[in-house]
Amino acid sequence: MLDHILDSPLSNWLKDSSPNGEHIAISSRVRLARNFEGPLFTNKNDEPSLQEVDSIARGLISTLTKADNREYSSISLDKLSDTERSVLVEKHLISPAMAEKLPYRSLVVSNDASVAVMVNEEDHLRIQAMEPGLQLMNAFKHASLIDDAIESKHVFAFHEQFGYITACPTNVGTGMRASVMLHLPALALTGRINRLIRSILQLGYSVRGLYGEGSEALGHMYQVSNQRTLGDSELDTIEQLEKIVEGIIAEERKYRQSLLHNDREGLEDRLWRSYGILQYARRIDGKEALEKLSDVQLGMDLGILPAWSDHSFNELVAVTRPNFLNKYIGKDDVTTNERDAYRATVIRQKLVDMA
Amino acid sequence: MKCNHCKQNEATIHMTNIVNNEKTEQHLCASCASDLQKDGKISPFSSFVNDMWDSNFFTNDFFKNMVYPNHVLESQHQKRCPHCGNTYDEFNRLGRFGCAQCYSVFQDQIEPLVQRIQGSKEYNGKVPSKGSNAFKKQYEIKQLRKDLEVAIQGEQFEEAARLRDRIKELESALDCNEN
Repeated sequence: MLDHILDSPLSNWLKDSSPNGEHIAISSRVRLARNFEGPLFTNKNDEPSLQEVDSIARGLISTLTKADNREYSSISLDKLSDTERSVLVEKHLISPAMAEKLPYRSLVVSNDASVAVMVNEEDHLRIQAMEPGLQLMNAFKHASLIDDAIESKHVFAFHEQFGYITACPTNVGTGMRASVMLHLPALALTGRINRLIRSILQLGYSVRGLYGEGSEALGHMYQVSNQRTLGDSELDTIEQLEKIVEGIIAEERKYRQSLLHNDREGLEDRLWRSYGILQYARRIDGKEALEKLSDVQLGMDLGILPAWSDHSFNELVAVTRPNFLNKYIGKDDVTTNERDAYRATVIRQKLVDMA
Repeated sequence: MKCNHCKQNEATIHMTNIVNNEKTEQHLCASCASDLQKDGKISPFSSFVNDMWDSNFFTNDFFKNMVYPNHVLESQHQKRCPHCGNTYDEFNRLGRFGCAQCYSVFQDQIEPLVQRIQGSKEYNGKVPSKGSNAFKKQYEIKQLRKDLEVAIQGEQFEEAARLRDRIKELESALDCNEN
């Protein structure tokens, strides 16, 4: 189970093709922060509290299986190697901060990795549910189902005025962070993205790159999420976020058309060149791979390049991650050249298989 | 993880900067981050860079300086949460509370803070149904009271009467559960 999660480039949940067959909204994620009534918060580093939460979490497996008919397992972080932990971070299954603090930290995860509960992170539990494409409501329903199942056995800290109690007041209330990963090459290439980001921020929602902030995100991937957790209900927040995302998708489509319209040949040239590089490169670093993959996916979406199977893009984006590749190659002391060569091979192979 | 700068304190601020597609990472403790920021060595915007999991930028005296007049701070200086032992000052320093009880102990300070960062201080979402369903009923009552107000103002007395009966019904159910 753990090996499967660590070794497969794509979590199973991402393999279900997105409902609209598009590659603008890549994935949706909802996370709920929950704390128990008694134990102190993890930042207090109180051993009995950490232990208590850990043992509650270990007892959850059958409860969760009953709730959504998935198989669950519990992974203790201190039993993993550094590389393995980094892979979990790259897969967004645990947070970077969590990869460093080990005893009593664990991950309860479903066999398709569509549900992952981080244990003893900043909050006692962080319940995450993931869906491919733009499916925030389904992700929320799934997370909420898990939340209810846990709550039927244990009392969560809840305050009449503030709602669900969290260690940091920025999460208090619903404890919910809903986010959508978007691939926005046309908005980025036409320079429209910065203005768009500003207006999204003004609406109280946040935009980040795939790995951190920056106006030009790697691979033109952006994460849009809600900031506020108090005042609006979960459903209102999700509805609003969905509207915003639909607005962004409409803009992206519009600018894809305008790219085509303004200089079709120039665009085709760029996209075919990127395709050529991926098809023939013998070494490619993660950054370049992401850039070219983004171009190639755009080319496929526009019908300029021959299309690959639905989840190839996501799969290859995973392959651009260094720790995942290390694990894949199967040794810890992989050199940069080895990794770049391996990456180039995996991508090339994919394009050959397709042809 | 230790702070990259002083190598002593625990790093609570994690920054990823992407400049010309070059990615650099910095892990700092609150005091080094604040010093570096004052010296202009890191951009003030860097502090907004945080991962979706946490909001480490709310550290230092950020909350304190933003929300409270001095006399309030003085008077609250000594109060401790009986469950975890934290003071409100400790929260200001860490940006994190120590336990669930802190929210009741420091409710007076948290209210304006939460209002400021969340734009609201009234929860309006999913309610746990554990045990007697007491929370759920209380919320329903609160909601019905609002509706009742609206009905009365709109002179919809039949609707108001219906709402009043429903509130009474819920309240008596709550009483039973509490006994």
